[in-house]
Amino acid sequence: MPAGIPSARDGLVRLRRRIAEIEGRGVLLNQAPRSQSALEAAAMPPALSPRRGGTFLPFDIPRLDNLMGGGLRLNALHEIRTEASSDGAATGFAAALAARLAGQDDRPLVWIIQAMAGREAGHLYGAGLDRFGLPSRRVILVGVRKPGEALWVFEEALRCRGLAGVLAEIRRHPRLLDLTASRRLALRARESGVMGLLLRQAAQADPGAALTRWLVTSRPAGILGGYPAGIGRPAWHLILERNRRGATGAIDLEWDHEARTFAEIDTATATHSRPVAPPSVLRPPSPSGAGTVVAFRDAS
Amino acid sequence: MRLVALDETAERAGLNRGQALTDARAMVPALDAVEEDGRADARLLATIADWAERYTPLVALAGGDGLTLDITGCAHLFDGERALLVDLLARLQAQGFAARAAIADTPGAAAAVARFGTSSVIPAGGAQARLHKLPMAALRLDTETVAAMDRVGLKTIGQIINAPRAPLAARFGSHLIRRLDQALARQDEVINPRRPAPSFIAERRFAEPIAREDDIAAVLSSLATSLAAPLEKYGKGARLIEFSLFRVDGFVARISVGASRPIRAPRLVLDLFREKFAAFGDALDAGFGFDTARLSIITVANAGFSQIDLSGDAAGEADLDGLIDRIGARLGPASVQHMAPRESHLPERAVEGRTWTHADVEEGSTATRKALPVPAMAPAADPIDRPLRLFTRPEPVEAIAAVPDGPPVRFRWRRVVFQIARAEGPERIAAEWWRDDDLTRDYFRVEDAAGHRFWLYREGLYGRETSAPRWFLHGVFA
Repeated sequence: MPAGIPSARDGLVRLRRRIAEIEGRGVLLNQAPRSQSALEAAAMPPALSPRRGGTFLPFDIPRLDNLMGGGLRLNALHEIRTEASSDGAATGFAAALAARLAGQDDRPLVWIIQAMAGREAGHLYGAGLDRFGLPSRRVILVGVRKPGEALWVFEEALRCRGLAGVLAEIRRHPRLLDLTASRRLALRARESGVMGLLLRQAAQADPGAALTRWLVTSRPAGILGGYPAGIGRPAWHLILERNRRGATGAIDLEWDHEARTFAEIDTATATHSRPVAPPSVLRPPSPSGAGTVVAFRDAS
Repeated sequence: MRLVALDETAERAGLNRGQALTDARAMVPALDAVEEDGRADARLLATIADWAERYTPLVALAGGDGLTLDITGCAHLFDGERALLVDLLARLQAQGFAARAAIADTPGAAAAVARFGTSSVIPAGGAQARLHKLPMAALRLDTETVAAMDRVGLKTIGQIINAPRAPLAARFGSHLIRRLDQALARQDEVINPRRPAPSFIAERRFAEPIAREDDIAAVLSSLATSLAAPLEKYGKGARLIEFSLFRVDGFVARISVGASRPIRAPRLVLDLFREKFAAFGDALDAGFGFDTARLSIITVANAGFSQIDLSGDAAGEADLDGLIDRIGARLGPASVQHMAPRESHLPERAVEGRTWTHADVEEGSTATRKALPVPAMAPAADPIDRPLRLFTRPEPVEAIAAVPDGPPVRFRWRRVVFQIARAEGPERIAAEWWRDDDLTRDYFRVEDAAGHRFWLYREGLYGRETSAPRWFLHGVFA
């Protein structure tokens, strides 16, 4: 087979992907018929597209961003899950995403926290957020008592165009957070362009309408300032469990809190500690899958 | 035990106030006496005062058994003063109260006639003639002054109205002259209302009481609409709004909402009350219905004329304010907070949650306008020395350290043993000297083999402050 064909195929894949995105967006925004062309969809009023910061929240790690077509979609719901009940790792990954979001969007963020979390998993700590790279000034903290209230605030906040994003912490498996509720949240995010991050602690994998779902587990910290004995940059083992727009996989990431950037850890060469998780397995979209990527509407 | 109050039947039987209970029992063996309960009386008077706000927002308590209503500018709403008086007395009587009332130019004259005369409207300037025959006590004087005047034969107000003032003041005190002048409108008297007078009020009365939630919402909407025009005319917006519903049986339901930025659009007002109603659930008992509804704007703030800007930034901000207000209305204003740093070295005191108000947005706006500044030159790499999550109460752990002052080797928290792989510290944080009983803390950042990162501290300096230091887990790192 000539070498030029796979690259031409890749180009086609990219185009189809692009059309899928445009159509998915156009359909949901104005209930246009499926036959609406990409051009028409692109000519929609500019107010409907996110006003600041583009369409994606990129990780700036090409391997990872390509999986999702450029990064985490802003106008969507993303789920971050941990099975631990008091685990800083998931909070850390969520805060890192929020910090990156704050870096490309100047609107404030809403962080919804259940009051009892203060005793069970610790309350969100402003000084810690500041050190972490997410200015606590930009965070509007909403304390709720019940999961129902959290979901109500989440949905209301996702409709608010004055926000960059909304992060809601939900512990365990409240009955109210079912597929319908999750779809509603995803829909609100898509309509307003406000990014929704659902941080679920002590949670098993549930069906949901989130565009991506990440399972976060802790891993030994990276090295900071050439001091291998110290506890350096926060690092996590991430499993992209679900990705509506591409393949899934796992990766180890490190957070640089000063530059607010992610860096991939090559687990094979990590010196300071034995790997606690299997090495990163990130599958790029395979050429064989190219035929399956078509301009489709989302199920939700 | 003495009698303090009597009903009409008891009065007809010849009993008097101040009479001993035993004497009264001797006169009327079937006497039904109830012990006085001042607090219950005060509560009852307060509910009557609430109810009386249907006539005017300015209601003041007058002693333990009376009310003063400032009806200036309100009487025409009830077809005149006489009709208002009749309506008020009829409604009170229907609720089972025996009441007397008088309308006069001054609070003093009205109180005198209501307590010592008959229910009536005293025409403007007619106070002097009416007060002439009334006893001295009608001037709201203390009993000693009344008794002293009685001893020298001064029994009715008429005897002192035109008497020389200086000797009276010298003998009975300037208080007497002041009360007389207040009753005769020679001196102003300020009515001190129970609740602050609202800046703007809109009101609806219904021939047929309303009870359905939709009707109430419709009324609210129409009231808000009628208030929007005056607010706009004066360039004001509402910060604190109160909606009062007067139930036919006299109960008054009050619901108030606050807005983080001055609002006047009826839709916004309605949105806030919707959340409040939703939070109420069924707690708003309509009973037999409400016959009067009033929307009062308690606090106003200047609000200029806003223009819709095409970039949509202002709309987004207004959206955010609306969101914060709705959450505040439903979950309580204290549920929306921001984290503000404080001057303290103690971690749990270094950050405090403050209720989010519009001022914070203003103050923070210069900071939030621009995207985050990227550090120009890479500073020395500082580790993250504060945790992302901090426990409200530090959790006690069992820790084993190699040396008393050193970092722990392993610790047990919530029945799980964590083997520490790396540790950094100590960061010594001394107790604030003005607070007793606090010990110095040595904080350690630790990481176990699986990569869980914790913030532990040892309470008390070994050997100096305590011989058996305890360990606590205070926070969790990312």
